[in-house]
Amino acid sequence: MTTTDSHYDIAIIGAGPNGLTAAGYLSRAGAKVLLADRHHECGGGLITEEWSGFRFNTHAKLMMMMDVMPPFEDLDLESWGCTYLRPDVAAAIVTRDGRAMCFYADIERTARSIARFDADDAEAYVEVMTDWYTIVNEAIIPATYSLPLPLLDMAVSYEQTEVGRVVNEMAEESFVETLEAAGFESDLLKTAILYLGTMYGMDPEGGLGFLLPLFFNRLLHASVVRNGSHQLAASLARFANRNGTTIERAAEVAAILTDGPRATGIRFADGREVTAGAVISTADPQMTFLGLVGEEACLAASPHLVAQSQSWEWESTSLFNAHYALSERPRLAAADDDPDADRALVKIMGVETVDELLGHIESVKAGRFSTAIGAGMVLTDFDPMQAPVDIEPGTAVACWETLAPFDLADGSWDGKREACAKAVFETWTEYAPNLADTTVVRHYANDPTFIEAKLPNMVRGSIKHGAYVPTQMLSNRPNADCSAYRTPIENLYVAGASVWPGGMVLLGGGYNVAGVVADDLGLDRWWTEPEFVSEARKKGLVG
Amino acid sequence: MSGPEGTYDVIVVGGGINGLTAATYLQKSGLQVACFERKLEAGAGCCTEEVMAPGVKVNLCASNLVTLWSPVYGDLELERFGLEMLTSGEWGMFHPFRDRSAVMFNSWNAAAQYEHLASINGHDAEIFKTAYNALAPMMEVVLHSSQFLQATQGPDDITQEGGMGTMLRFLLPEIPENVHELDAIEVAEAVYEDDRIRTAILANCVMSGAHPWDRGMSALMPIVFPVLQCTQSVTWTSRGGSHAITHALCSCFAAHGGRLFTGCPVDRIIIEDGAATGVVLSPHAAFPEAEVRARQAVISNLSAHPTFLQLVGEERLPDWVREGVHAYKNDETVLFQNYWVLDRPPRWEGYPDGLDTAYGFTYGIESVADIRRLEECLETNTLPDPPIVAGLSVQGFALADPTQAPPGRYTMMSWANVPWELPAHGGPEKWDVIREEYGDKVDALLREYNPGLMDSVVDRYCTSPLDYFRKNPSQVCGSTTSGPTHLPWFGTHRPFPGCGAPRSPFENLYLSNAIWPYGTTTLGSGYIAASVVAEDLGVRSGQDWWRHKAMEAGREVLARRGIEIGVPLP
Repeated sequence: MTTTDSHYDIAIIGAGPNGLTAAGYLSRAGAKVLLADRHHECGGGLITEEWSGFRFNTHAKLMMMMDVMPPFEDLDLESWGCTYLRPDVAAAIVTRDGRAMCFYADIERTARSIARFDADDAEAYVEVMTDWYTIVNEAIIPATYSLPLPLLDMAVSYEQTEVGRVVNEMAEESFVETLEAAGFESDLLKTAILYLGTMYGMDPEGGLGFLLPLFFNRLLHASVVRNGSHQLAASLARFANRNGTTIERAAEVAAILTDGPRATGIRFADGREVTAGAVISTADPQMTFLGLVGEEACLAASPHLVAQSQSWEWESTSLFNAHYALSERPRLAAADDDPDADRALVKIMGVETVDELLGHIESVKAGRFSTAIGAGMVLTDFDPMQAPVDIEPGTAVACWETLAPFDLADGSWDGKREACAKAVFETWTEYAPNLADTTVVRHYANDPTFIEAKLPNMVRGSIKHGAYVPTQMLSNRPNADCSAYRTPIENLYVAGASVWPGGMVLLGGGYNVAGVVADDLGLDRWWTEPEFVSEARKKGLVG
Repeated sequence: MSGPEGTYDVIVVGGGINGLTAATYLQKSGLQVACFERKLEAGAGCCTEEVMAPGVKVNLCASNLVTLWSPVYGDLELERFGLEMLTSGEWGMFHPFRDRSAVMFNSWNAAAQYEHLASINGHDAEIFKTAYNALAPMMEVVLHSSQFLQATQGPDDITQEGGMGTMLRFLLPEIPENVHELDAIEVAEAVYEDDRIRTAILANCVMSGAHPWDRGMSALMPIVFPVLQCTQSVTWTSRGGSHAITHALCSCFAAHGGRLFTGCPVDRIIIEDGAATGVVLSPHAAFPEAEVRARQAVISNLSAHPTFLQLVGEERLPDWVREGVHAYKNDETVLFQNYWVLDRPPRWEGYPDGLDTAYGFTYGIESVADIRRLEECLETNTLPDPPIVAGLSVQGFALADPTQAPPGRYTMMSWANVPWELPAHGGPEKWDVIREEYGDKVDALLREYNPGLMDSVVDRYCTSPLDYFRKNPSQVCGSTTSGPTHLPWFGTHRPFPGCGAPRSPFENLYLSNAIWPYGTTTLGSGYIAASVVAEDLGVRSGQDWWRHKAMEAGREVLARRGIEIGVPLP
């Protein structure tokens, strides 16, 4: 019953980070854009909600690319209210006997912390990280904000440079192999690197070893969005609004309308239809092609699309998050060993050896959940206003994040959610004894089934709209026919986390699809490519 | 451009719905406006959050939206910016009794309302008919002049002989001659015969923010309420929850070039030579300690306490202002909220038909004596036990708008009236300690009325007045109306006599909240602030779009659904 217009140049399905980004670029280019989302709020996984004045970031918390993502400058996000904070101490791994190894974006500084445990490793770290940082900065980050090279082209083209050859080599390795190749001695160091590499569901025994340097490097550069993760979405939405995008919230899209092999618009769940010159879906391939387009229309356009979508592989692990509104912040006992540990953004607790970590991941895959291993974060250390500190000084918000199975081997999450949140709190108390006397004003346990219920594209509690495995990464994401954002269905584009470069709030999908759609629709590409992408292109490292 | 630096024509402090309304009108009128909001999301009272299971939308403050009756709805094209108002059945409100009877209030069908009252008491139904036929034709005018024009009357005007009460007596001779000396309870007792009708009406007076123990306008509420309910109180939610109003306002503001900065608490309003010239953001703001200048006006959308005592600074206030602000402190009923998730649609077995699809209800008040008990509890800062739920209870969110709950789930909430102070427990900070226990008492009370309903509850969430305050510190003492609403602060005396609101004792400093009328989703105080500021700054004329009157948009929306309101009764 709203009076939304019945025709748009572009209709975008899903107001998550990529949908918002695409809307921003394309509406600024002059297109009349409709952005629709089933949720009552924009942002997809960029969720921040308030429990009695305490803000819980119930999904995305750490932003891996804020410092390099082109949309931050292009869409002027800072002036629309988005700022981010880079913690001084990125991570710490804390031992049961009260010691801590700390990690910083700065290589030398990290080496000094490692040297407290192992002098040789400290030296090796400098050498290895110099290489890892180079491939991340020169190849992988540029590739994030450009079209993926077809796999064969990539294999050939990457052989032309030293950086490319290293990536090619790592692509064949598992995370464990890439880590072993680095030659570190200290189990604690290796555990920390592997933990940070796998904390968002990467399979340590799978391939795509070059993603280990990427995740490790970017988590050491991670930032938190001031105000809460949702602020990034809110700022993107304001930019889009300013440029004329119509945003419809609480508006579920039921179908992508097609005429033969061509997309012509969308139909909402309430029956309203809107025609559009182009449709961009940020949903996963199963929802986009099997659900919204429908098998028949897919078959009309391509013999492969249905089968490709049906074989989409979801992640084998999900996340469990427990959020606590506290009368005081947790203080690590290991602060006595190294005060920086207490200031770290990500505090790894409960795991000290690679074998323990691998066993843990295997166990999660088998449906068992551990309340003893996880990462603690206190976002109010960096952004105090995420608690009502102006009226209750000293209050804090703490979050425990850890891998978890979607299906528990021993029963349903419904019966376990609260008990797990309590047990996790006890684990944290072992490392931060002051928690025992702290008042928990509110808490919220967010298990994998909650993730799926809240974000239906995150099937089985998916973290990234589908597994990062070689068969659905790079130009295979979501499949060889759609990885360049165009699809076999004319005028239909895909841009969500299930498309290169994937999830984790990179804004890469939205950025890249905007360029493709602008070209196809003859819109002005008003933005300029970042220099780091142009440099990489000269070396044949990006498409 | 990076950050909020620079100079704006107008700065609005606080992005609640009234602040956004004022900001958007002025931006659309051609001024450059920046709005600074402390929280992550603007909207203050119009917030919807998923604090329970995924997909369960919790409207944590505003729940019964009356925005359709506002001129803002049309002027700012809120529909075009995504706002869709929805309602459930035609019985908007009802008040059940333990004997399974109920008094119901219809949202638009006056004939059905008359029939219903007649089935309880013929005399009382006639009172309704007379009042309805007299008042319904004047509703637009009354609403526009009382909600959308700067106040011209104070408490003395309203209680004196010859005031509004006497006027009504002319239309309805049953009103006692000394109406200006009576409170609402006394008027209800004098006018109505049936105690259930009196009780239900008085409970709904409390629900709509009036004080049955006050004289003045409140005393007329027992006569006016059923008419109001039938002509302009259609109970609504908006698609996606109350927060959709905020989104529509924000989208409109942004589309016209306005700048909203969330996560930006303001620490100080800069006053130079007695005039407001800008603001300084807090060290915790997204732009820490940034100083931003306003060429023409600063509008504070915070309540009077933070505006004057903190932002302007108590030391800068003349004595009369300081005294006025201190006297404004909220000392009346605040709200304790229970929020439930049901696994089947609400059903009222054994009660009259029509209740299942009604939007909301009040309960726990069996007679006028319970209303007096509420008055006594508030006077003595005693927690009502058992609770008294004259506050709004809503069961119609998901009935009207299926997006507010997952499939097969329904939401329901109720506001129990409580005092802020808890002297018997050790102070308001003890709300954290007794929250769940008091929530259980509210559950138990509702169970007495409808055990089947409570059997369908699968989850519950409670918020205390302390939680309210934490969520929005401008709501001093957990106030949901930005300050006290009873008689001494009526009209021109809100927030204090001599303030001249929406103007203030400081040049170029205006108020858009804590002024007349009380903070509701009519957006009236934001509209009035915009009107006065636009006149003062000389930008009001020539704004062709700024032309809607109260109720205009509401009538159009209802007409699209085949509903006509205000049809005279034979």
